[in-house]
Amino acid sequence: MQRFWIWLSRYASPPVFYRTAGLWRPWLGWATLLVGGPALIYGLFFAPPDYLQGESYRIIFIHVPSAWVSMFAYTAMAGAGAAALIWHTKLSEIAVVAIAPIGAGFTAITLVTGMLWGRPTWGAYWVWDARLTSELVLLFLYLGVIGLASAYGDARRGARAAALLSLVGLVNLPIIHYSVRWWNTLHQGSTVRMFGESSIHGSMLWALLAAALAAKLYFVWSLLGRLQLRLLSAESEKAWVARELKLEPSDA
Amino acid sequence: MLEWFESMGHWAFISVSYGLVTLAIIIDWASQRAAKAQLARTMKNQQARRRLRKGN
Repeated sequence: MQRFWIWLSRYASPPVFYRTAGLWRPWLGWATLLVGGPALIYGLFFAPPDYLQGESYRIIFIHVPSAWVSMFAYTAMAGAGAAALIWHTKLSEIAVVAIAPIGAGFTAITLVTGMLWGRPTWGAYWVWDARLTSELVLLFLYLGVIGLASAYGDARRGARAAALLSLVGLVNLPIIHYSVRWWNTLHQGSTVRMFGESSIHGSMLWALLAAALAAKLYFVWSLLGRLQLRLLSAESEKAWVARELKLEPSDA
Repeated sequence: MLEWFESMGHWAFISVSYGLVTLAIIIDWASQRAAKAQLARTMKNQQARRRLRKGN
Protein backbone atom coordinates (compact mmCIF):
# COMPACT_ATOMS: atom_id res chain seq x y z
CA MET A 1 0.00 0.00 0.00
CA GLN A 2 2.84 2.33 0.90
CA ARG A 3 4.43 1.65 -2.49
CA PHE A 4 1.15 2.73 -4.15
CA TRP A 5 1.19 6.08 -2.33
CA ILE A 6 4.82 6.64 -3.26
CA TRP A 7 3.97 5.85 -6.91
CA LEU A 8 0.91 8.14 -6.77
CA SER A 9 2.76 11.06 -5.22
CA ARG A 10 5.50 10.72 -7.83
CA TYR A 11 3.03 10.88 -10.73
CA ALA A 12 0.98 13.65 -9.11
CA SER A 13 4.07 15.86 -9.22
CA PRO A 14 3.32 18.46 -11.97
CA PRO A 15 6.52 18.08 -14.07
CA VAL A 16 6.39 14.26 -13.98
CA PHE A 17 2.69 14.25 -14.83
CA TYR A 18 3.22 16.77 -17.64
CA ARG A 19 5.90 14.63 -19.27
CA THR A 20 4.00 11.36 -18.78
CA ALA A 21 0.86 12.91 -20.30
CA GLY A 22 2.95 14.11 -23.23
CA LEU A 23 4.15 10.55 -23.85
CA TRP A 24 0.62 9.09 -23.69
CA ARG A 25 -1.23 11.69 -25.77
CA PRO A 26 -0.04 10.71 -29.29
CA TRP A 27 -0.84 7.03 -28.60
CA LEU A 28 -4.30 7.95 -27.31
CA GLY A 29 -4.92 10.19 -30.33
CA TRP A 30 -4.01 7.46 -32.81
CA ALA A 31 -5.97 4.83 -30.87
CA THR A 32 -9.05 7.11 -30.96
CA LEU A 33 -8.71 7.49 -34.72
CA LEU A 34 -8.09 3.79 -35.37
CA VAL A 35 -10.98 2.62 -33.20
CA GLY A 36 -13.47 5.46 -33.77
CA GLY A 37 -12.90 6.03 -37.50
CA PRO A 38 -13.95 2.56 -38.73
CA ALA A 39 -16.77 2.37 -36.15
CA LEU A 40 -18.33 5.65 -37.27
CA ILE A 41 -17.83 4.98 -40.99
CA TYR A 42 -19.44 1.54 -40.58
CA GLY A 43 -22.25 3.00 -38.48
CA LEU A 44 -22.90 5.78 -40.95
CA PHE A 45 -22.74 3.83 -44.24
CA PHE A 46 -22.62 0.06 -43.78
CA ALA A 47 -24.65 -0.92 -40.70
CA PRO A 48 -28.07 -2.33 -41.67
CA PRO A 49 -31.06 0.01 -41.19
CA ASP A 50 -33.23 -0.53 -38.13
CA TYR A 51 -36.43 -2.52 -38.72
CA LEU A 52 -38.54 0.17 -37.02
CA GLN A 53 -36.62 3.46 -37.20
CA GLY A 54 -35.02 3.01 -40.60
CA GLU A 55 -31.91 5.14 -41.17
CA SER A 56 -32.33 7.70 -38.38
CA TYR A 57 -31.12 5.20 -35.75
CA ARG A 58 -27.56 5.78 -37.10
CA ILE A 59 -27.38 8.71 -34.66
CA ILE A 60 -27.02 6.02 -31.95
CA PHE A 61 -23.30 5.67 -32.81
CA ILE A 62 -22.76 9.24 -31.60
CA HIS A 63 -25.56 9.77 -29.12
CA VAL A 64 -25.00 6.74 -26.88
CA PRO A 65 -21.16 6.96 -26.63
CA SER A 66 -21.51 10.70 -25.84
CA ALA A 67 -24.12 9.98 -23.18
CA TRP A 68 -21.91 7.32 -21.56
CA VAL A 69 -18.89 9.63 -21.53
CA SER A 70 -20.99 12.51 -20.15
CA MET A 71 -21.68 10.36 -17.06
CA PHE A 72 -18.21 8.77 -16.95
CA ALA A 73 -16.62 12.24 -17.07
CA TYR A 74 -18.82 13.43 -14.22
CA THR A 75 -17.79 10.43 -12.10
CA ALA A 76 -14.12 11.19 -12.87
CA MET A 77 -14.67 14.86 -12.00
CA ALA A 78 -16.33 13.98 -8.68
CA GLY A 79 -13.48 11.52 -7.94
CA ALA A 80 -10.94 14.29 -8.58
CA GLY A 81 -13.14 16.60 -6.48
CA ALA A 82 -13.05 14.18 -3.54
CA ALA A 83 -9.26 13.91 -3.85
CA ALA A 84 -8.99 17.71 -4.02
CA LEU A 85 -11.05 18.15 -0.84
CA ILE A 86 -9.33 15.34 1.10
CA TRP A 87 -5.68 15.68 0.07
CA HIS A 88 -5.59 19.26 -1.36
CA THR A 89 -3.38 18.10 -4.23
CA LYS A 90 -2.92 20.67 -6.97
CA LEU A 91 -3.32 18.10 -9.74
CA SER A 92 -6.73 16.92 -8.52
CA GLU A 93 -7.94 20.53 -8.17
CA ILE A 94 -6.81 21.20 -11.73
CA ALA A 95 -8.46 17.96 -12.90
CA VAL A 96 -11.88 19.11 -11.61
CA VAL A 97 -11.63 22.33 -13.61
CA ALA A 98 -10.20 20.58 -16.70
CA ILE A 99 -12.83 17.81 -16.85
CA ALA A 100 -15.85 20.16 -16.61
CA PRO A 101 -15.70 21.70 -20.14
CA ILE A 102 -15.08 18.31 -21.78
CA GLY A 103 -17.98 16.78 -19.85
CA ALA A 104 -20.18 19.76 -20.76
CA GLY A 105 -19.26 19.27 -24.43
CA PHE A 106 -20.18 15.59 -24.38
CA THR A 107 -23.45 16.38 -22.55
CA ALA A 108 -24.35 19.10 -25.07
CA ILE A 109 -23.65 16.68 -27.95
CA THR A 110 -25.82 14.05 -26.21
CA LEU A 111 -28.69 16.50 -25.87
CA VAL A 112 -28.47 17.91 -29.41
CA THR A 113 -28.08 14.51 -31.11
CA GLY A 114 -30.93 13.24 -28.91
CA MET A 115 -33.10 16.07 -30.19
CA LEU A 116 -32.07 15.31 -33.78
CA TRP A 117 -32.93 11.64 -33.23
CA GLY A 118 -36.15 12.46 -31.36
CA ARG A 119 -37.73 14.53 -34.10
CA PRO A 120 -37.92 11.78 -36.79
CA THR A 121 -38.60 9.07 -34.18
CA TRP A 122 -41.01 10.68 -31.69
CA GLY A 123 -42.17 13.65 -33.76
CA ALA A 124 -40.72 16.14 -31.24
CA TYR A 125 -37.29 17.64 -30.62
CA TRP A 126 -37.84 17.88 -26.89
CA VAL A 127 -40.15 16.49 -24.24
CA TRP A 128 -39.82 16.99 -20.48
CA ASP A 129 -39.11 13.32 -20.05
CA ALA A 130 -37.19 12.11 -16.95
CA ARG A 131 -34.14 10.95 -18.96
CA LEU A 132 -33.91 14.13 -21.05
CA THR A 133 -34.51 16.43 -18.08
CA SER A 134 -31.92 14.69 -15.86
CA GLU A 135 -29.36 14.88 -18.69
CA LEU A 136 -30.13 18.61 -19.01
CA VAL A 137 -29.57 18.94 -15.24
CA LEU A 138 -26.18 17.27 -15.81
CA LEU A 139 -25.30 20.01 -18.33
CA PHE A 140 -26.31 22.67 -15.78
CA LEU A 141 -24.13 20.96 -13.16
CA TYR A 142 -21.13 21.05 -15.50
CA LEU A 143 -21.81 24.73 -16.27
CA GLY A 144 -22.15 25.38 -12.53
CA VAL A 145 -18.75 23.77 -11.88
CA ILE A 146 -17.16 25.87 -14.66
CA GLY A 147 -18.80 29.06 -13.36
CA LEU A 148 -17.95 28.40 -9.71
CA ALA A 149 -14.31 27.57 -10.47
CA SER A 150 -13.85 30.89 -12.26
CA ALA A 151 -15.87 32.96 -9.78
CA TYR A 152 -13.05 33.19 -7.22
CA GLY A 153 -9.98 35.39 -7.46
CA ASP A 154 -7.95 32.56 -5.94
CA ALA A 155 -7.96 29.68 -8.47
CA ARG A 156 -7.35 27.02 -5.81
CA ARG A 157 -10.32 28.18 -3.69
CA GLY A 158 -12.47 28.22 -6.83
CA ALA A 159 -11.40 24.68 -7.69
CA ARG A 160 -12.25 23.45 -4.19
CA ALA A 161 -15.71 25.09 -4.32
CA ALA A 162 -16.25 23.47 -7.74
CA ALA A 163 -15.09 20.14 -6.28
CA LEU A 164 -17.78 20.39 -3.59
CA LEU A 165 -20.48 21.11 -6.19
CA SER A 166 -19.27 18.15 -8.29
CA LEU A 167 -19.73 15.85 -5.26
CA VAL A 168 -23.22 17.20 -4.54
CA GLY A 169 -24.21 16.67 -8.18
CA LEU A 170 -23.25 12.98 -8.05
CA VAL A 171 -26.81 12.28 -6.90
CA ASN A 172 -27.97 13.04 -10.46
CA LEU A 173 -26.07 10.11 -12.03
CA PRO A 174 -28.25 7.26 -10.70
CA ILE A 175 -31.30 9.39 -11.59
CA ILE A 176 -30.11 9.59 -15.21
CA HIS A 177 -29.26 5.89 -15.36
CA TYR A 178 -32.42 4.54 -13.73
CA SER A 179 -34.85 7.21 -15.01
CA VAL A 180 -36.05 4.91 -17.80
CA ARG A 181 -36.86 2.23 -15.21
CA TRP A 182 -38.23 4.38 -12.40
CA TRP A 183 -40.57 6.43 -14.57
CA ASN A 184 -42.65 5.80 -17.65
CA THR A 185 -40.50 7.67 -20.15
CA LEU A 186 -40.72 8.35 -23.86
CA HIS A 187 -36.98 7.66 -24.02
CA GLN A 188 -36.31 4.00 -24.73
CA GLY A 189 -34.84 1.69 -22.08
CA SER A 190 -31.20 0.54 -22.03
CA THR A 191 -30.14 -0.88 -25.40
CA VAL A 192 -26.88 -2.40 -24.18
CA ARG A 193 -26.81 -4.39 -20.96
CA MET A 194 -23.64 -5.31 -19.11
CA PHE A 195 -25.37 -8.32 -17.51
CA GLY A 196 -27.91 -9.99 -19.78
CA GLU A 197 -28.74 -9.90 -23.44
CA SER A 198 -28.57 -6.56 -25.28
CA SER A 199 -31.57 -5.53 -27.38
CA ILE A 200 -29.40 -4.51 -30.35
CA HIS A 201 -28.31 -6.75 -33.21
CA GLY A 202 -24.68 -7.92 -33.22
CA SER A 203 -24.03 -6.20 -36.56
CA MET A 204 -24.73 -2.86 -34.87
CA LEU A 205 -23.44 -3.69 -31.38
CA TRP A 206 -19.74 -4.02 -32.23
CA ALA A 207 -19.69 -0.61 -33.92
CA LEU A 208 -21.52 0.95 -30.98
CA LEU A 209 -19.06 -0.53 -28.47
CA ALA A 210 -16.08 0.52 -30.61
CA ALA A 211 -17.49 4.07 -30.89
CA ALA A 212 -17.97 4.10 -27.11
CA LEU A 213 -14.36 3.01 -26.57
CA ALA A 214 -13.17 5.71 -29.00
CA ALA A 215 -15.22 8.34 -27.14
CA LYS A 216 -13.57 7.33 -23.85
CA LEU A 217 -10.10 7.38 -25.44
CA TYR A 218 -10.86 10.81 -26.87
CA PHE A 219 -11.99 12.01 -23.45
CA VAL A 220 -8.67 10.93 -21.89
CA TRP A 221 -6.72 12.46 -24.82
CA SER A 222 -8.50 15.79 -24.44
CA LEU A 223 -8.25 15.71 -20.64
CA LEU A 224 -4.49 15.10 -20.67
CA GLY A 225 -4.04 18.05 -23.08
CA ARG A 226 -6.11 20.36 -20.88
CA LEU A 227 -4.32 19.17 -17.74
CA GLN A 228 -0.98 19.90 -19.39
CA LEU A 229 -2.12 23.41 -20.30
CA ARG A 230 -3.48 24.17 -16.84
CA LEU A 231 -0.33 22.80 -15.20
CA LEU A 232 1.83 25.06 -17.36
CA SER A 233 -0.35 28.02 -16.45
CA ALA A 234 -0.52 27.22 -12.72
CA GLU A 235 3.24 26.61 -12.45
CA SER A 236 4.34 29.36 -14.86
CA GLU A 237 6.91 30.67 -12.37
CA LYS A 238 8.67 27.31 -12.08
CA ALA A 239 11.84 26.46 -13.99
CA TRP A 240 10.42 23.23 -15.46
CA VAL A 241 7.71 25.23 -17.31
CA ALA A 242 10.35 27.44 -18.92
CA ARG A 243 12.23 24.31 -20.00
CA GLU A 244 9.08 22.76 -21.49
CA LEU A 245 8.22 25.95 -23.39
CA LYS A 246 11.87 26.32 -24.44
CA LEU A 247 12.30 29.63 -22.61
CA GLU A 248 15.40 30.56 -20.67
CA PRO A 249 14.97 29.01 -17.19
CA SER A 250 16.92 31.68 -15.34
CA ASP A 251 14.38 34.33 -16.36
CA ALA A 252 11.24 32.32 -15.66
CA MET B 1 -35.71 27.12 -42.45
CA LEU B 2 -36.61 24.36 -40.00
CA GLU B 3 -39.31 23.07 -42.36
CA TRP B 4 -36.79 22.97 -45.20
CA PHE B 5 -34.33 21.08 -42.99
CA GLU B 6 -36.96 18.55 -41.92
CA SER B 7 -38.12 18.06 -45.50
CA MET B 8 -34.63 16.77 -46.37
CA GLY B 9 -35.46 13.54 -44.54
CA HIS B 10 -33.56 11.28 -42.15
CA TRP B 11 -30.16 11.87 -43.71
CA ALA B 12 -30.33 15.59 -42.84
CA PHE B 13 -30.66 14.73 -39.14
CA ILE B 14 -27.89 12.12 -39.38
CA SER B 15 -25.54 14.47 -41.28
CA VAL B 16 -26.00 17.29 -38.77
CA SER B 17 -25.28 14.89 -35.89
CA TYR B 18 -22.04 13.57 -37.41
CA GLY B 19 -21.06 17.07 -38.58
CA LEU B 20 -21.58 18.45 -35.09
CA VAL B 21 -19.21 15.89 -33.57
CA THR B 22 -16.57 16.57 -36.25
CA LEU B 23 -16.85 20.30 -35.58
CA ALA B 24 -16.61 19.79 -31.80
CA ILE B 25 -13.42 17.71 -32.20
CA ILE B 26 -11.83 20.33 -34.49
CA ILE B 27 -12.74 23.16 -32.09
CA ASP B 28 -11.35 21.21 -29.10
CA TRP B 29 -8.08 20.40 -30.88
CA ALA B 30 -7.62 23.93 -32.27
CA SER B 31 -8.47 25.62 -28.96
CA GLN B 32 -5.87 23.52 -27.12
CA ARG B 33 -3.18 24.41 -29.65
CA ALA B 34 -4.15 28.10 -29.55
CA ALA B 35 -4.15 28.14 -25.75
CA LYS B 36 -0.66 26.62 -25.60
CA ALA B 37 0.67 29.11 -28.16
CA GLN B 38 -0.95 31.98 -26.23
CA LEU B 39 0.61 30.77 -22.97
CA ALA B 40 4.07 30.57 -24.56
CA ARG B 41 3.64 34.11 -25.98
CA THR B 42 2.53 35.50 -22.60
CA MET B 43 5.50 33.92 -20.85
CA LYS B 44 7.93 35.21 -23.47
CA ASN B 45 6.50 38.73 -23.03
CA GLN B 46 6.86 38.46 -19.25
CA GLN B 47 10.44 37.34 -19.73
CA ALA B 48 11.18 40.27 -22.04
CA ARG B 49 9.67 42.73 -19.55
CA ARG B 50 11.78 41.28 -16.73
CA ARG B 51 14.91 41.58 -18.84
CA LEU B 52 14.04 45.19 -19.65
CA ARG B 53 13.56 46.01 -15.96
CA LYS B 54 16.88 44.36 -15.11
CA GLY B 55 18.57 46.36 -17.89
CA ASN B 56 17.18 49.62 -16.50
